[in-house]
Amino acid sequence: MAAPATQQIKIRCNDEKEFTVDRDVLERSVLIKNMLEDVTEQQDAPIPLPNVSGPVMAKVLEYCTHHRGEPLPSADTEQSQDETRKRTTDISEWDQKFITVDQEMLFEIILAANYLDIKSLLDVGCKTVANMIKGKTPEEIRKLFNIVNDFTPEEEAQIKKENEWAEDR
Amino acid sequence: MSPTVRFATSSLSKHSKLPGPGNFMGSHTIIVDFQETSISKVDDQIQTLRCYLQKLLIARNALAPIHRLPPDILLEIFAIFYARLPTWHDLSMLRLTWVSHHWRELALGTPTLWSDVSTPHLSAAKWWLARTGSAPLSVRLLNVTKKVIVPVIPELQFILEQIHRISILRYSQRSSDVFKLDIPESVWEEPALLLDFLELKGVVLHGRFLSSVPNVWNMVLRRCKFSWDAGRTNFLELTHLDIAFPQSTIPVAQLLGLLQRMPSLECLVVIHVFATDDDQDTFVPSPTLQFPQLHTLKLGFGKAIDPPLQFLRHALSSFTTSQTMISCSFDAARLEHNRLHTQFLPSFSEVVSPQRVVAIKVTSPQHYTFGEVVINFRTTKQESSRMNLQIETSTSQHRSLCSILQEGLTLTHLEAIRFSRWGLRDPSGFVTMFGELPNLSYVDWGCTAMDLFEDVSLIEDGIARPPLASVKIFGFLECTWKNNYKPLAQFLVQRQRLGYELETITLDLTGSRPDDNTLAELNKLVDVVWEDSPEMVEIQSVFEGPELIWSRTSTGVKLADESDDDSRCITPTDSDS
Repeated sequence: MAAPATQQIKIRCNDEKEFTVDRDVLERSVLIKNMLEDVTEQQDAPIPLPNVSGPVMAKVLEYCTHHRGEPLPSADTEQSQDETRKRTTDISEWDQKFITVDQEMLFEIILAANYLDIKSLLDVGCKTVANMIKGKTPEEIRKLFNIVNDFTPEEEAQIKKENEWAEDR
Repeated sequence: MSPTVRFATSSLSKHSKLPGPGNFMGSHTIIVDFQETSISKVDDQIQTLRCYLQKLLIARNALAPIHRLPPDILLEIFAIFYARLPTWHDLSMLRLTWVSHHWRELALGTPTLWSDVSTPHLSAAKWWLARTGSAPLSVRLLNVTKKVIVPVIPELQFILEQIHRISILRYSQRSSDVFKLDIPESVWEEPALLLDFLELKGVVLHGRFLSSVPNVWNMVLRRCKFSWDAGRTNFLELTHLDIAFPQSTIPVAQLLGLLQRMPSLECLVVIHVFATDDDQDTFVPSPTLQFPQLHTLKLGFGKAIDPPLQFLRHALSSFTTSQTMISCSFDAARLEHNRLHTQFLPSFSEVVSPQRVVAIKVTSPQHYTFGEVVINFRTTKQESSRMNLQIETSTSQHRSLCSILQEGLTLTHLEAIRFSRWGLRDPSGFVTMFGELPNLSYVDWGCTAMDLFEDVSLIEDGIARPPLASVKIFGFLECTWKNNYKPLAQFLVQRQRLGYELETITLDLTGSRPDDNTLAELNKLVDVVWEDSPEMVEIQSVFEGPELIWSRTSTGVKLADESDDDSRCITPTDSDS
């Protein structure tokens, strides 16, 4: 029998930070949803989430609360819609504002969304990074993500060739 | 004193992600003694150090925050980036491999990121295809020039030899090219079983090419030469067939023979159907040749001096269902005036009931009496009674066109009118007609919006009051505030008083990327629209290139491909300054 929508669930992050959250909010995470479905009796012990810290979980919960009640993508539709989803440039205004965080937090949110299996949040994160890359030169991308040129001489030579070819087009 | 170089590596070796110890990691210092060694030994050490430095750089990059993301997520980001490239021939994907060793390895090791092969890749086709592994390919070689194809360059041949794993093949030459791409028979030796989308324009195909493409669902063959012999192949998947031969003509008998092998057709476009004298004499309609799923039938009779009327009537009555949208085009220069009225239009009304979807397009050179006329009635499943009228003509020809339309067709169900870009200069004649078109709800004014909107009094006087819901305006890149935007703005300001409920304005900016001045001009318009008409649902822009975002809050126009930091959001204030 389905649990009542108002059921409260406790979770504990890797920094011992605990949250008590409505079940339907938490069930945006497929990982937690499956965990809850596997548990037959109500447990008071918090669900441990060893891969997520408190501050990141707070952001994730902010997202889940905002999107509570929205339909979750089913496994059947997921694959067929994958290409369309990738091509869709839209990130909603709220999501854009939500994901406007520093890089450290952005990547942590993506990792958490991946771990917790929240497809839509992972999508927002990945699209945001893809948007950051778009239109930038390799040097600008390096600067953006604090990466240095680490190519081998052989790679450098090959890239030089590719560069010339691209210029000649 | 001997020169000595010391490298302290102890602090570096602490990090677990550093490369393995190697020969010199055991000690904390590397000593190069130039007195006791040869040049070659020093060179060896330099090489070793370079190698180590490079490993250090890789290790350093591994610590960058973005590399906390596992490879599969980084690849997902690449895939999104790739899927959103504005055109398939964009080389941004290649540039992504120039960022770092890790990114390069990751991207180059993912065949699906390279599976779109297009014209700019031709000169490096081998390199490009090597990246694709065995992934299915989408090959789009469009507007290939004569320079590339004569003689057929090995790279192009190399791509075509991959036909067994090509799922989309689109090739087109400019229609002005006399030369055609000559695809050798050997290409089709191996059946192209993955090929499901085929579009060839300006190609000579040898051998039984048709029998090598049994699984296509979309086949477009324009300006091609090929054998109509499909062997025993049935095209059960084929839902869309588009064949056009402007230089020659399509023989009716062979066309019908091929169509019999395509029972699943949903869309059939055949341009330049031609009946020989033999065909006219011996053509026997086949009652079994039917396409129950056909929703679109377009037949073009182009320059055929004597279009095969019998074939036309047979196609209309036999191929189609009650859901089929039909359109036919004729070259009016080849038809006697009265034949349009006495034969072709009546043919439609005889065969196709008035409720059926019908599109008739009649074109002719500019010097012809009614210029270029496009009469296009259409109905779709979603809009069961929507009809469109497309008109391209010059001012002096309005009246004669009106009379032709009124004689030949009934327009009371007309719901949409689209004027061409260079069309309407004096709208009064047509606007008068609107009063007799009670169902008209869509008008596309073309480039001539200024003429109409300047004469708001015409509308005010009640001469014309179509219930507009949507307006599309062309050629804004060539417009200025004074001549074009202002009249439109005036119209928008007055439209509520005039009783119009306009929901959408589409500005066609096709042509090139708007410069800052144009953006500033557009902003003025946006400003007026939203200031005066807050209920306006949408302003769309249509143009090739980056997407424009119309920001309602700032009334600014922002290029969507630029990040917030450096986006060009031009407000009216900015433009004034």
